[in-house]
Amino acid sequence: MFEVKNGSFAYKTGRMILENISMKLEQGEILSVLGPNGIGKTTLLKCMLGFLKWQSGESYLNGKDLEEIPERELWKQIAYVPQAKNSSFSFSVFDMVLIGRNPHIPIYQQPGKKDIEITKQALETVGIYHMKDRLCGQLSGGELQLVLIARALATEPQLIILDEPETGLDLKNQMVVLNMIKDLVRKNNYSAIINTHYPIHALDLSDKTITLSKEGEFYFGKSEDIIDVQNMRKVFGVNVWIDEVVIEDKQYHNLIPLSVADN
Amino acid sequence: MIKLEGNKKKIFYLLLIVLPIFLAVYCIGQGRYPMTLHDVVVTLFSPFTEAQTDEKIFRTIFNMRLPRIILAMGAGAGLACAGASFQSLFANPLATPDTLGVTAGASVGAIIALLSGQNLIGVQFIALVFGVSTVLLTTFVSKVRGKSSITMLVLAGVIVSSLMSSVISILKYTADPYDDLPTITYWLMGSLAGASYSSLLLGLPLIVISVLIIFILRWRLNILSLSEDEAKSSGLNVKRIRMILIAASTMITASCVSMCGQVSWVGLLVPHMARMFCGNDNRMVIPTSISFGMMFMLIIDTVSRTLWASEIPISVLTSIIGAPFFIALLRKTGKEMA
Repeated sequence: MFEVKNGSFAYKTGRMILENISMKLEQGEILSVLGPNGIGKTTLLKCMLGFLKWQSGESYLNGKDLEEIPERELWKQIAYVPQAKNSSFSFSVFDMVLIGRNPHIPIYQQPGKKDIEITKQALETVGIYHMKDRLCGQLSGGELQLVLIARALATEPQLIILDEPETGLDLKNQMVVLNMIKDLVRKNNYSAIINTHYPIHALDLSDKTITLSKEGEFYFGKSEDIIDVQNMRKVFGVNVWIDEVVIEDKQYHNLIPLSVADN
Repeated sequence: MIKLEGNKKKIFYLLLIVLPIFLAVYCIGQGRYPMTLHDVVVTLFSPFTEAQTDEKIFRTIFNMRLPRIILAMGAGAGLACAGASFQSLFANPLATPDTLGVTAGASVGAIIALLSGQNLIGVQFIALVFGVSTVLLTTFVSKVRGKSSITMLVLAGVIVSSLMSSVISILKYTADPYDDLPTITYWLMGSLAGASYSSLLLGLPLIVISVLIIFILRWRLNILSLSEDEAKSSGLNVKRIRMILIAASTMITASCVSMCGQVSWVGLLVPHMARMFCGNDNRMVIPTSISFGMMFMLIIDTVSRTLWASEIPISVLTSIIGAPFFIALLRKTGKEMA
């Protein structure tokens, strides 16, 4: 349902950051964009979304070139969840989630009953209805991330794109947020693209993974195939041990960083 | 912040409409020529009811006080609305027509137009052009590597404002000291004394239309105060809506400046009063600011023309109230702004 064909991008001054990237995501799948800091993950995300223009190559949504889809139509189908950051004006949780309805509301109108109903549902789905009157400025990072996810749900999209949703959260909140994403995608048949720099999260969460390495190479495929010892050394410059453990009849991925690789 | 729900919310909205009207009627009754509330109401409705009225009272109300009251309400509503809109547009609680330099810029335009003997349309047009140019200049100055922080924007506003003030000083210096200079000086301090139906006919529609545009787009102001990518990804045509709102807010400021000179502080003070009552949701902030703005200017103007034998300039009064309020605001929210 979402596809990138031969996308390349470079900032005005610098070298080519993304070169000839191709990838494909089906309905109901999760894709991880994996790589170390500063490698161009966020740039890739912005290019995919059309915030930045590919210098060559295109993104497709349901077979249509992204640039040819009118903005309002596009953002009914794609919802973007940025990294949790507070804005200057602190809105209530409800008002923040309501903003997700914008693509469905004509410009001269205000949100109506239906929008308020869907906003309530989104809050309930994420399990934060009880904090609808709290101010976003007074929430913890994890809570705010859930609010932004609820806002994405209020859009009723097909594809949700999340920029490092677990960054800056403690262990418990990381689990809450990641499980939430997994649940939502499985239950509602959404697709999702997630930026992360944790290989283990990519393994746990996603069907497919694309990694970016310093040499400008990229690897794309099934997560289990992509996240192996060899690629992790190339991408992160770290020697790792990867295996699976079974705890109470459940299988878990296990990834242990061993040493910094001296290539 | 006071939480309003259900019926309380309805009553609050009703008060927003009713209170300014009552206050306006009350303020018409105040002034050198004494009249009772009863006189005011009877006379105001006399064109419809054909009731017998005192000739002097009739003329005082319709020729002198009513245009001034209408101007006070229009300017108050407009400036407060423009202030609230600028705050969200720049995601900056300190952004107002004054702090962005729009008021000073529009004043330069208006003075140039006045000195070159333009009529009110000319004054308004030139004030508008200068106002828009000043906003663009301020945003340009505040951008460092494509980004503009709250502090930078305010600093840029201070710089551009003082630049415009010095242009005003030059204009004053070269102005005819017997004829033009007193006019400019007095006008710069802000006064509603010049209100007349003919000037209202030209200036008020621009304010009303611009306020309406902002009112209709008020919910989108919430979205515009988020980060650029967030706003875009909500499907909003950020560039276009932002331009429309900046144009509307600047138009209001320019119109007010050309009709009643520099009236400072209203654009900062009133929206923040509104925020204290209803939080930051612009669906509430905009109507509340409009209503509060009307009442604020009605009170200020009535005090200005009744307190002393001679009129007190509006900006003197707004500053006396505004400066302490601004200090309190900085103390309360200063931490989050840096």
